[in-house]
Amino acid sequence: MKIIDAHCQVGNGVDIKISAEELLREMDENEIEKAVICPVDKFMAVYNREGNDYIIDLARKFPARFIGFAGINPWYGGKAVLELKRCLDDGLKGLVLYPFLQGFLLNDKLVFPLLQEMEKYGRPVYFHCGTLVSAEPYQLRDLAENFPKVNFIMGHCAFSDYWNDVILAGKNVKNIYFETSFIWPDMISNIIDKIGENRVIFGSGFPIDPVKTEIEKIKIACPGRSGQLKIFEKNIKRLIGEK
Amino acid sequence: MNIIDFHAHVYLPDGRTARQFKSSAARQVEIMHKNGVEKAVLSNGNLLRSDSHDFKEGNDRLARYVAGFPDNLYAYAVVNPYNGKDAVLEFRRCVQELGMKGLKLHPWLQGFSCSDDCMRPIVEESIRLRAPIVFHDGTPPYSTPLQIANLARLYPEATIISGHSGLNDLWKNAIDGARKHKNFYLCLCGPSNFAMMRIINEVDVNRIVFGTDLVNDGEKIFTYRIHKFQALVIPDEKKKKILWDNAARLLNLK
Repeated sequence: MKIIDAHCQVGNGVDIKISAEELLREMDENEIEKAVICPVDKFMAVYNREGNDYIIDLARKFPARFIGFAGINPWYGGKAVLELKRCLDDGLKGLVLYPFLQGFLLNDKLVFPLLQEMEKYGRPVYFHCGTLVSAEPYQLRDLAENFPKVNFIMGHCAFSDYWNDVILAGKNVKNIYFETSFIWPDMISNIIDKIGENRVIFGSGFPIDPVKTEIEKIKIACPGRSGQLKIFEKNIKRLIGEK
Repeated sequence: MNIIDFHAHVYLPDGRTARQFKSSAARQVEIMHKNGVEKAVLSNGNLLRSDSHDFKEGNDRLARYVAGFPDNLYAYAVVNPYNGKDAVLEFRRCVQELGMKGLKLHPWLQGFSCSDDCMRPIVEESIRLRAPIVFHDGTPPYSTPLQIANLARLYPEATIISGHSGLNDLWKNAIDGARKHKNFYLCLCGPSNFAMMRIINEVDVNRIVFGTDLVNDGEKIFTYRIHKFQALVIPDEKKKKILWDNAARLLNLK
């Protein structure tokens, strides 16, 4: 079975320091074919261009291994939109937003111009979710309803204490997908049960969590092979327009 | 087997709450042993809800549940601090008469703030009983690591334990609290491996314990958390302290 890891970070940040070589080694050890990569901490928050250049460069050097997502802070306004266009034109396949780190409410109008651009390009938007006040499941639902043509990925299934909200927020909104890093396996089983395998996407969160135990967790939460195929490969491919 | 799970639960059916789990102590111990866990400390999850009122009944039920496995299962009492004197007496009864090892509180589910005066007599009693208090933490506005660490600051003789080490968003504050207060302990139960490594490197390793959040025989989260911990690259000596020695000391095990 091919495994695509839909959420990894790479770069030399302040808290997180992880090189492409280290990431590739982790992927090889765990038989990850491809990984979605995005910039780390300070590059996500302020040094967007520098962070994205690194991701673009890696995606070009290793097209068989990396799928690049841009990291852009919406507070840069018009400049943020220009940076997004540049990234997408240079081959990046999606956008990662991190409300807690970047300092905005997940569904604030501030983020609309970036989403309008994503809609034009038909690319998915990943939100780090689960932080109180700034990144809540119902905020994501509100946004997903306002942008029904954009596919949104709820990072970490909003780990940790939104277990009451996650299903209700996502169930009737078809453009919300659930990424599995950090969350406990029972919650993934619950989402599969109530919403279905088609909207669950495997991500390890590496280097924040090791890949091995995150893969093992999916196999515990979803023992069936057809479900695993979707969660490990097909769902993310569909979102980024790959066959 | 060389693991003590310091953060586990059992939901004991009381015919009232919505969350009803089938439970058997034998089955829970079987799952523990299968995963290399020799001992676990449990609270009765049903009592951690804001609408719980019969704490005596629920704590008694837990005492009966663990009684068949005295070398494997240990209990935390649960009370609601808003119940004042009654809460203090129940905590005392659980430790002195039922042999429970400490108190488990869940500020946001139970609906009280750690900064409320209602916490004072509870912490004072914990000092008299020499029994630790384990808190859920990692979630504002009632359960942040620094809110809980503040109790350790107010009562240097108390043993105050952050049950989740700040989870995903606040683990840095769990470190801040533990570095300032020698009576503030961290339970590795929920933070990422990245956060656990930082905690282990930055906090006195004698004040770190391990937990899984096990609920009844819910093996999925149990194995996940154990395997995650085992994936940490740290010296065996530190692992042993976290998985066994520190918990054994807090539980007064011989």
